[in-house]
Amino acid sequence: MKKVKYSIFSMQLKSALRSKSAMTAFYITLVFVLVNAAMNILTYQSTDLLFMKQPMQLLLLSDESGIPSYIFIQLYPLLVALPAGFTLVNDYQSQEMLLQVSRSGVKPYFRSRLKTAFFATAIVFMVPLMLDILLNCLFFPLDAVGQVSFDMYTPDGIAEIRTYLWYSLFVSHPYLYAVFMTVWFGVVSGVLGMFTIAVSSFGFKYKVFVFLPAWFLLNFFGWLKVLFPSIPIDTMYSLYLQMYDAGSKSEIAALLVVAFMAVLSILIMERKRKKDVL
Amino acid sequence: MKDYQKCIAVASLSGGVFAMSVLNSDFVMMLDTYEIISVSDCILSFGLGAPDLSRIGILRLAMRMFPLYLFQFMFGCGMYQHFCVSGVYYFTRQPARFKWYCREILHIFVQAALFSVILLCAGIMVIRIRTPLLMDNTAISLFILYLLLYTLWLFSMALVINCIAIKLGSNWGFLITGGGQILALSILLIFADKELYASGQRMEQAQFLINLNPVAHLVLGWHRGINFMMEKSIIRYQENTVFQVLDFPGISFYHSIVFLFCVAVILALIGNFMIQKQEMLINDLELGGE
Repeated sequence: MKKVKYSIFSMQLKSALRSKSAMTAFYITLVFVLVNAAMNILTYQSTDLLFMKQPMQLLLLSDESGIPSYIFIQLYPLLVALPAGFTLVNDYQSQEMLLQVSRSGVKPYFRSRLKTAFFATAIVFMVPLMLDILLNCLFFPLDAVGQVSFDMYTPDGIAEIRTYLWYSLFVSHPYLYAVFMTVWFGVVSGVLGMFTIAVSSFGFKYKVFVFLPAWFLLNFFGWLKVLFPSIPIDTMYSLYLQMYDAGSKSEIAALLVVAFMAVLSILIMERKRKKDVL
Repeated sequence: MKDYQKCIAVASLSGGVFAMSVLNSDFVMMLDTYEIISVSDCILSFGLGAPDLSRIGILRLAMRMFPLYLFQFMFGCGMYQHFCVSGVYYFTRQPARFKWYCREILHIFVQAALFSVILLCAGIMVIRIRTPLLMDNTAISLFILYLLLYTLWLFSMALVINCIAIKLGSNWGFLITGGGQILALSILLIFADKELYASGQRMEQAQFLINLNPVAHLVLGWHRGINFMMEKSIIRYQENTVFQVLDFPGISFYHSIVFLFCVAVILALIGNFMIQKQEMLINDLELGGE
């Protein structure tokens, strides 16, 4: 007899990516990418190559880019809950959880829910942003020199470049840096998606509260520096997610916060798993 | 009653946090030059300050909107919650839905007014602990204007969230309304370009578009005072908190109040129309039908 292969993870990932909310987040990101590219083409058409920015600085994730990139990063706390945040609440409310748990067991169910949240959120944001890199390579001259706002080789310029997140990669491979930062953006989004799922496992009556964890956390980091000016580094989330930003950032602090969130959401899920599903 | 307690708790907490942030940002320079802060300065700061049209200024403005978003988040689905029950039980006995609707929107309105008053009062109290405050002539009139503008705005936003929640589910309500406000705020960055200011015609366009933008009406520092004293205190505040004062004539307070009032009335009418038409909630609305 042929054994039926059943992978709960691939099933959950497919259904999460096909859901209405994940599609909404994907299309919103895609629209921002296209609008940003179109606006940049209109702005920089027939510009001399000497004054042209490097293509990677016109990405949606770049701080040097136009208004769409600003609006996107402002909307991000709301968008990040969309791709996978509602999956667990939906399962609770439609009792579908029982079916899946009885088929695969409690442990695989909750573990694959976390994995789904991570990968679905990361994929939904990373695919349009990777497309952005490709589009910009097509649209803008690749031999453009770079920053216009300052001279790269003056001490001030070097000091500004040193404030970029992981600047050593930028100095050696500027294009790889854009890919790397997009992956970093995807990883942070994925961890925020995991966190949303973990907090939503406490059970919300209304779905609007699914937005709360990621939205509140990101805004909280924004307020932190204003409330306590004695903190030596900037805490605004947009500085850590956008490229080419000149703020005083700490890579270790960013990594620690992301790791802490990931561990916290795994711990919450493990605790939840040990309770009765009903 | 429980709703009001929650409202007071959230408002006083966020008012206190807001006051601390204001003390660290706006009032640092002001305390250096004047050594005393007046109550109208506090009200102007709570009315989103007087940001300049740059990325940093708009970012600051967006962060200061946070208590308003918090209100919409916490109390945006009150009528929707009641509708879930009423749609099944109450409306079968009581066919006059208009009465029910009036009671519900009155509830939202009182909550909005309570929230804006408590937010401001808690904030002023926290500021008073740190520095002495000067009670000036314009404080009362500014307070009334603040109350009117913010109550109308919070009321209309909470109403929109409720109406969208009844149609589509509570998550879409908050997403659409919150996203819309962020968009409206960020659109102001179009004027950040300095070249736009250069010619007078562009200035007129900018003025026209700012007058149409609902979120810009909430910024008390961009307004023109209704009398000489208020004008003076707004200008004093602008000069001491921003590096670059916005050089446009300013929005009229009367215009703002009429505009936001019209928005609120139109939304209330649309909401009434919707409640009359909506039969019952679709059962799996919250499940998304996925």
